[in-house]
Amino acid sequence: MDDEHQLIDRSQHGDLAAFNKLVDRYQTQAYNLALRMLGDEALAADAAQESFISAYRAIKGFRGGNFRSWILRITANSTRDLLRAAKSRRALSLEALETDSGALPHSSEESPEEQVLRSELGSEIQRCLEALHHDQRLALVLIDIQGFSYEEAARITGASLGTVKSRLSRARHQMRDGLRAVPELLPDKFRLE
Amino acid sequence: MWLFKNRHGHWQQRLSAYLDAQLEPLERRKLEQHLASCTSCQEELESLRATVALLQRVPQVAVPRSFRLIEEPMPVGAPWTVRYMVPLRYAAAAAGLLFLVVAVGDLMTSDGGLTGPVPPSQEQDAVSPSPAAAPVTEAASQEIEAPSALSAVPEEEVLPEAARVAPSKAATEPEGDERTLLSRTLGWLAAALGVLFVALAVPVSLQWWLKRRAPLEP
Ligand SMILES: [Zn+2]
Repeated sequence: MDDEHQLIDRSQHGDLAAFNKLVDRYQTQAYNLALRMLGDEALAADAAQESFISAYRAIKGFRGGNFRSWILRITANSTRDLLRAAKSRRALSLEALETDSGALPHSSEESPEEQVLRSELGSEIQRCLEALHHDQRLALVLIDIQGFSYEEAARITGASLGTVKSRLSRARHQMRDGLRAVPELLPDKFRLE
Repeated sequence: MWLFKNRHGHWQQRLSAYLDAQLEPLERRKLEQHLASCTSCQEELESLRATVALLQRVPQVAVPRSFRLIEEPMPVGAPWTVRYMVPLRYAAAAAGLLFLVVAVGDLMTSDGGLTGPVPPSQEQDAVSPSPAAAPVTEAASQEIEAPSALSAVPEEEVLPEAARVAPSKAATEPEGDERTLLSRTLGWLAAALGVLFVALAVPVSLQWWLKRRAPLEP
């Protein structure tokens, strides 16, 4: 994207308007990544905002490559920091994380099918997500929920392709086990046992 | 039995990659051979496939608000500056007070000998630490941190008191010599100039120092 190159170049010279165009372009992906990682809308908004502030400060150090991966890597780090801070401060009880964050937030243009998914099954998915180890959750959110390639997930997480593969595999097995605990919510394929 | 189970484990670890066509051709063919004769691994594969299909249907949600930056974020050093601003103010006030006490004390304890050379050297002492040491150490930069308005506070508060003390003590001393009086006045003038210079140097070097810090990455 030549246009993106220009926006990055202008941002590196302190052009805030150019940087905000990059924000427009990637804020949905950054916010959704944070939301699935944190399971809390307010925290996710904080993480997204924080990551764009950090990105603006650090953009002079961006040396080409995939800008989206770079931004989302900052977002992923923000969510990690926020979770760590929240846990150490105990400002957020685990209970609050588990209950309030349950339902998947409303999407502007969702089908009736998606609305059902958002309700009960959505909460179950989010609950199972939060039971995963951070790195495994990150791999699963990036690849299965956000649809990124293994390569991009590796760039975002800073891990090797092999590591991403094995994290994703473990995450999928654990998700599958977690979701089997609520068979009544699931499609037929889950009811194997 | 253990061997049997372990073999399933071996293949089950590869099912996720198999779903995404991420296996090497040879390994993929071996897995497919195993799947053809193992219902347990087939079921495992289908349940994983269903899990992934479910996750892929999780909708992307709209952002609750724009995350555009309204203004330039504060430089990276800013939070540090803000955090230490209050203690630094006290430190600067204390430093200013100390300087005055030393200067006044020096003026009052040394008698007639206080002529030309001494006040200038004092002025040099007062001036040299701030601009020169500014970028070098953290300790030095802390001194510089305080805004001029604040370092001026102790000056204004202390001077009248010192002025009250000085004449009374001077009155007890049997010195009406005009030369001493002149040197004393000169000494005071030099000290005041020193304080003024520090007060002026502080904001300038602070600004310069912040500019230097700003481009640094986090
Ligand atoms: Zn098998």
